[in-house]
Amino acid sequence: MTYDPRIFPYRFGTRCWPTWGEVGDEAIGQILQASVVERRRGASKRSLGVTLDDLSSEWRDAVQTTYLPQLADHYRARRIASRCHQKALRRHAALAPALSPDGRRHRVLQRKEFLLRGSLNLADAETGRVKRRLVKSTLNSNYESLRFINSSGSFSRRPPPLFREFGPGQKGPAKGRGGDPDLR
Amino acid sequence: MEGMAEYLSIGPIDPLTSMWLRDASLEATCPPSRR
Repeated sequence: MTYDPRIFPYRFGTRCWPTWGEVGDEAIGQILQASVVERRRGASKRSLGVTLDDLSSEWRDAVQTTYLPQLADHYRARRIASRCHQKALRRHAALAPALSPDGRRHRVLQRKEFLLRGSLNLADAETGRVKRRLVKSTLNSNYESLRFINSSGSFSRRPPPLFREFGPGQKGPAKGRGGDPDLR
Repeated sequence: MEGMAEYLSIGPIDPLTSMWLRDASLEATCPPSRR
């Protein structure tokens, strides 16, 4: 809610709105309208009657009150699994993993250089070691979001065809369309 | 206005978001307010 360069607040932003909406969902419209003519700090004070810092504290309290009691009903993921991207997460994020049908590999979006710039990599499911980069991102500010969403990976569950036609002079299937299940 | 589309389309309770926030509560990584 307040700026912190260490945290990309998308997931937290989702939970902000129920807190803000406790005074009524119409408050959301009021905040957006007020944000047009003044900054968020002023919009919060004008629409909700509280400062942004107070609202941030209320939000953190609401998160703690809501989710900490739930921990008793859940066990830690480390009990049944181990992190495979722990080392990588220190420098960049790994998003939207898709596990292969055999469970040995996964595709994952990784960003290194810029907030939303990344690449779609094929990695080992146990170690997290990147085996191959499947899609390299390009920088285009007009299509950044669309490209990011369209790059989400998944594995085809269709078996490879028994027969395949090859082009003239082609000895085997084209890379990315043939027998390699990683690239379909 | 991050998260608003998700809130207005899914609603205030979402299992995936809850998973993130349980982890953030446990690890104390909720964004701190700047004072």
